[in-house]
Amino acid sequence: MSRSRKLFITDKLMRLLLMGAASTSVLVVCLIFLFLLKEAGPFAFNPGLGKLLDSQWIPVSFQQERFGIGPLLSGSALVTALAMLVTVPISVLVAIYIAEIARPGEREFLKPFIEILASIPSVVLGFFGLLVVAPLVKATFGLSTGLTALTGALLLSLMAIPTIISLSEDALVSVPYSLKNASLALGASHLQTIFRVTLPAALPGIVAAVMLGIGRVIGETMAVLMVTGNAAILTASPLSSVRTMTATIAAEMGEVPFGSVHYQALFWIGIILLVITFALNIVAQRVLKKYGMMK
Amino acid sequence: MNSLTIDQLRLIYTGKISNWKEVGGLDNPIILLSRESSSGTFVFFQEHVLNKEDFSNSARLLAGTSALVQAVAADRGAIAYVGLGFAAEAKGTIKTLGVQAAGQTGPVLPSEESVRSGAYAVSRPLFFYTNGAPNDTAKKFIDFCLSPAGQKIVRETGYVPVS
Repeated sequence: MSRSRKLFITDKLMRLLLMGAASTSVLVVCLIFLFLLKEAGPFAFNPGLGKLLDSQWIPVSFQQERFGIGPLLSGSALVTALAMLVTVPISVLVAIYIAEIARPGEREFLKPFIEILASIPSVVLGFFGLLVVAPLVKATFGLSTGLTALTGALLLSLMAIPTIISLSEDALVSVPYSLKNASLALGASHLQTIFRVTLPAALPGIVAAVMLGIGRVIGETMAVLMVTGNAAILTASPLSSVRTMTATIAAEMGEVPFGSVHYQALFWIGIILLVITFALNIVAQRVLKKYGMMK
Repeated sequence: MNSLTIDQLRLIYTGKISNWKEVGGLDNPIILLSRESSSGTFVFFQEHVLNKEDFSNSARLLAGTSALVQAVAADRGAIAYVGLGFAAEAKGTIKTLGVQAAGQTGPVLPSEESVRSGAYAVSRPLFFYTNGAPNDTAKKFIDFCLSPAGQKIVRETGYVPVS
């Protein structure tokens, strides 16, 4: 075999190998989705998907088991919304500081700390929440207990802040210098340039960062399980207890009779979570692509 | 507040009573705490204390008994149900209430005697399940648990020995 032929085959093989590796994740996502559908499927026929629209989540009952995921959806939504309310302003301001204002030395100092924050295991954050944040929330609002949606949201924002800072900073940094220079040349001050030119130009990237942050927060389990009190109430009050979708799966999957209606209901929650995070990711990618910010 | 009747417990846990003053206590909201629905204790409590009614949906479901003990110790007006051993271990930080069942003339505090005699109403036996008659290791283990040495450990950990 000639040398060039050998090279050609090696090339082909390597290409196949790499393509196989790259498609593994696609395959895994598809398989997980199929698996969830298979486990959850029978619920659609008996007792029927309408049961998921019940107003209450009472999976263990001598009266009637009820599998309304409304309270769980609202619990996840409330915690996520509160977390974003805290996270977005802080993260964007920090990103602006790091990208536009900080001296190189400060940047070198700040960035590793933000990355360390991202790498704290959520169970550890949960402990921190239970022993520090919950008593703080309790004392601040004069409550009888600190196990509230707000407590969970504060912990989640600690997790989302690093994600949103890093991605927003990327977006800010990728704003072309020509724009900033033009603004400065027209006599705008540094701050005016940041808030009137750079920030608006980076906005699509920041929006995408927030959406990915939401995806991270809505799927988080351990910390919210530990501090939100897990009462399945349909509520919009930050100081009430909530039960999130993730916490429900984590708390109940361990002892649920295999194949039971309750078991299938838990898988439906899983499917809904997957669809939500999937949608968030797709929209975030679209936004990035549309504004040419995809790397 | 030193005791509750079984009826009061049921009304509290089903959400029909939500303030301590309704059962003779201070004017404080009751913070309902319970184990997760995956717990056997949850189902026991539901069957025997709630008389098979559903828990109030405002009950906060915590992941384990230690979390319950910790929450009761920390939160004003909180109530929970935990194993006797945990209650004994946390003596001083939490208060154990007596329970008065229907037909009883007064409240009964949980203790080895009151549980064994059945006077303390909120108690249950614990079982080992084996697939058929226990063999080798399983049998040795169960025999040990039932032996004086095993029963001594049961008592030391705050449970009530069977013999």
